[in-house]
Amino acid sequence: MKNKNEEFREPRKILCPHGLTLANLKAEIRTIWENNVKEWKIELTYPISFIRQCIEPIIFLLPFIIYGLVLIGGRYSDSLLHLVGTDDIVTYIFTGYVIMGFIGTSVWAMGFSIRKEQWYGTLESIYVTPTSRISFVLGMALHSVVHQGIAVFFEFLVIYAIFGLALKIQGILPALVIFALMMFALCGFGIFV
Amino acid sequence: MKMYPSGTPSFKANLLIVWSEFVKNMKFLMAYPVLFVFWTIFPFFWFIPFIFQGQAFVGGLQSTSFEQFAGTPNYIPFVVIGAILNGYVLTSLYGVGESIRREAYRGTLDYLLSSPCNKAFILIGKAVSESINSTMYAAIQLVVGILLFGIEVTTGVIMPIVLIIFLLILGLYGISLMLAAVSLQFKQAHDLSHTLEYVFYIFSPVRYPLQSLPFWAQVLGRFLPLTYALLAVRSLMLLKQNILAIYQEIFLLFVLDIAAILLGFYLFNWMEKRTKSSGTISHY
Repeated sequence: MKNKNEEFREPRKILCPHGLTLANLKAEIRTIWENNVKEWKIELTYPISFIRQCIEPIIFLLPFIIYGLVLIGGRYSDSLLHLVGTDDIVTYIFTGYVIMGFIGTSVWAMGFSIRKEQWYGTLESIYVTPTSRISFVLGMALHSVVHQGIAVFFEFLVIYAIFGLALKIQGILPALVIFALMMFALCGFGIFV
Repeated sequence: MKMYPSGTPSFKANLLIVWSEFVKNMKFLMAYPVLFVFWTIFPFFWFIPFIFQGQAFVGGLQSTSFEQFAGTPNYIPFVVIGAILNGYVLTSLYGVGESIRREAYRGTLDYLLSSPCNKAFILIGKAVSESINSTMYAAIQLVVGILLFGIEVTTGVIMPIVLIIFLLILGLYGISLMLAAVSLQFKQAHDLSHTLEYVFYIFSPVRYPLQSLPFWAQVLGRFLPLTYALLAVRSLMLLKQNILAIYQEIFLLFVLDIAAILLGFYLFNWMEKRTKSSGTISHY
């Protein structure tokens, strides 16, 4: 007969790595990368769905541009010039929509990251791993930012080919800096959701 | 062994199927009240940006350029009417078109398709419940449109609009039947619904007049029931025309309805037999 103490012994405790060390940081970066790779693998399993999602931003952008062109009867609006300093409605709508796309990505993709794992039935398995929850969500964020970047690239090509875009070359670098700051804020918002 | 009734089911039995489907779908809707709030309120968020955009670009509430294409300089009622009728497209595509796929997810599709009843009446039941839901949402949006966005409704146009919406619903559910049929075989109903939504989004005059599109896009738009419904309703409400002036749009909408419903039922029956014989009905 087994000893009562042996039968009901407590499970062995495993100490999770903690603290800001180089080894831990490398492990968390690897978690972010692996989550990103996992999301890409799932996404590319459904190539038709992936192509549709890449085309989607163009489909939703076109009505705004066509509607604007019909309202003004041309490409340039005096009223817009008075309000924001530019009269080119196509470039104005395009730049606004690019940023809008990333906002949507952050809220949807990151907000749904936990919920999706619940649907797949893998949330518990992930939660018992000795990794930070934030790294897990940031992995999702990395995937969604790259995904949205590809969609925006297609969007740019199509709008440039059909309407042409008047972008100032010297403004691209400062715009990217502002854009990077915005992405940090959006990641925070996504984690909150 | 239990024997099932053979022969053609009575009209009363078929009505009971429609009623049961309706009750089931309403129970689902009541179980998730957030969905009701979503479909009532969120269409406003989809068209309000177009109103602000119009005001920023034009600097007022009327556009002479818009009048050349649409026949009316008031772009706000134009967009609001477009959004209200477009709500029927969304609920039909995602409600009825994906309903078969949802039954598969819930694990009830096999039971439904093996039941001793005409499957068409199951789909009619789903379509009726979605139509009633859509009409509730549209009515609330119309009231808000009248109060906030300057839409005018006279008593003389109510009955013609009800007729046009009825014809629109018939056409949309014909298309949804085709979608349900394709999802029986190819499963990815969500992507198909989205793709069809894009076609409606771009090629029907929801936010801009059809004449503003290139010729090839106008031709494509003429194959969509929503195009004729929008042309007819806007003629009645914005251009103040009478029903005799829009008989062509109503007739063409009716023709499209017949074609879509016949093709939808044919496709659904064909796909049902095909998936039953191949044993892939309940596959994901």
